[in-house]
Amino acid sequence: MDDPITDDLLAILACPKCKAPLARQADLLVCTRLECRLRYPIRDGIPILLMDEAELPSPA
Amino acid sequence: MTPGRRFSAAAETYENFAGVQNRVAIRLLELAQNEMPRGGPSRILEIGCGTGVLTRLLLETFPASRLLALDLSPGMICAARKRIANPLDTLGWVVGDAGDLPVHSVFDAVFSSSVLHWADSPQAAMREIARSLNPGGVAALAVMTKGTLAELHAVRRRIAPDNLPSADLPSPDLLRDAIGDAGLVIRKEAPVEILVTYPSAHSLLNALHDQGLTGGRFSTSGRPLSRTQLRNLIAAYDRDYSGPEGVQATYRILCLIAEKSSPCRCPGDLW
Repeated sequence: MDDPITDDLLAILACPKCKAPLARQADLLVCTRLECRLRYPIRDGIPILLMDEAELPSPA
Repeated sequence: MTPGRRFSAAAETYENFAGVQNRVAIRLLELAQNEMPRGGPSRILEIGCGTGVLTRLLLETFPASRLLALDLSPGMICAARKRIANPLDTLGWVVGDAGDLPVHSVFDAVFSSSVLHWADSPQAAMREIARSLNPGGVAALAVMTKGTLAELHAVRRRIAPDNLPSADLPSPDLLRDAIGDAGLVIRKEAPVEILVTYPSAHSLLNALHDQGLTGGRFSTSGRPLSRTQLRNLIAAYDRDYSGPEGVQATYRILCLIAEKSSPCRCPGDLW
């Protein structure tokens, strides 16, 4: 099955909290803003861009 | 729609709520079609796609546009995705909240039908809609307003006057203010009143439960109605609002078309 998260889709999606761009990391979308870096799941090919569902950044 | 026709639309009668959703979506599209940015919307955001009633119509109406369908519920999106074919791959799906839209300011049109009344804050939702639009972009919104289920509220006030719902649906004025405060200019509006016939008050309450209209903040107070109060409510509704086909319930929806004004060069800017 084709990846449903196309580059075109990724380009219009933003972090719901800080509105920064998101980057794909395996099965997550991660906020690219250093101060935020919230991690959002992708389930069944659908990005779940809810703050309640976000994980905090993994410790560096 | 011209102002003269705005308040003359007669109530229409439907047999179930899906009919209401479909009719509202069609009315919203009719109203929006001639208000789109020149050349048609390149990107459309739909807020609250649900099972995809409006999504499908948007794909048919704007085949050249890219559409992003958003809903708070992953289950709804899965259901909509199964039902809607998208051979040209112009449709994307995302789970998100109207109050914190997970998108950049790239849309020429934002559509939302029969869902924004759920927003915790209509003001926040309107601000987010305005933010997601390009300058000159258009929001086409159908929002359920105060007066919806007026019959049920009247009966409930009589049966349990000390136990009323804690929140009400937004009034048209509240929506207009929220839209204006968000920096959008209303171009058109059309109130829609729809009567739905249910076999009995009991079946109405079951249908509302299935739609998610009970249990929410519009129908619950601190305490649920007692068994006796519920029985009295059903009896009073059956008695007061019966017609030949069953009992009736009113839905009020306000359709609004609003534009995000393009940045204009004011005379002062020239100097």
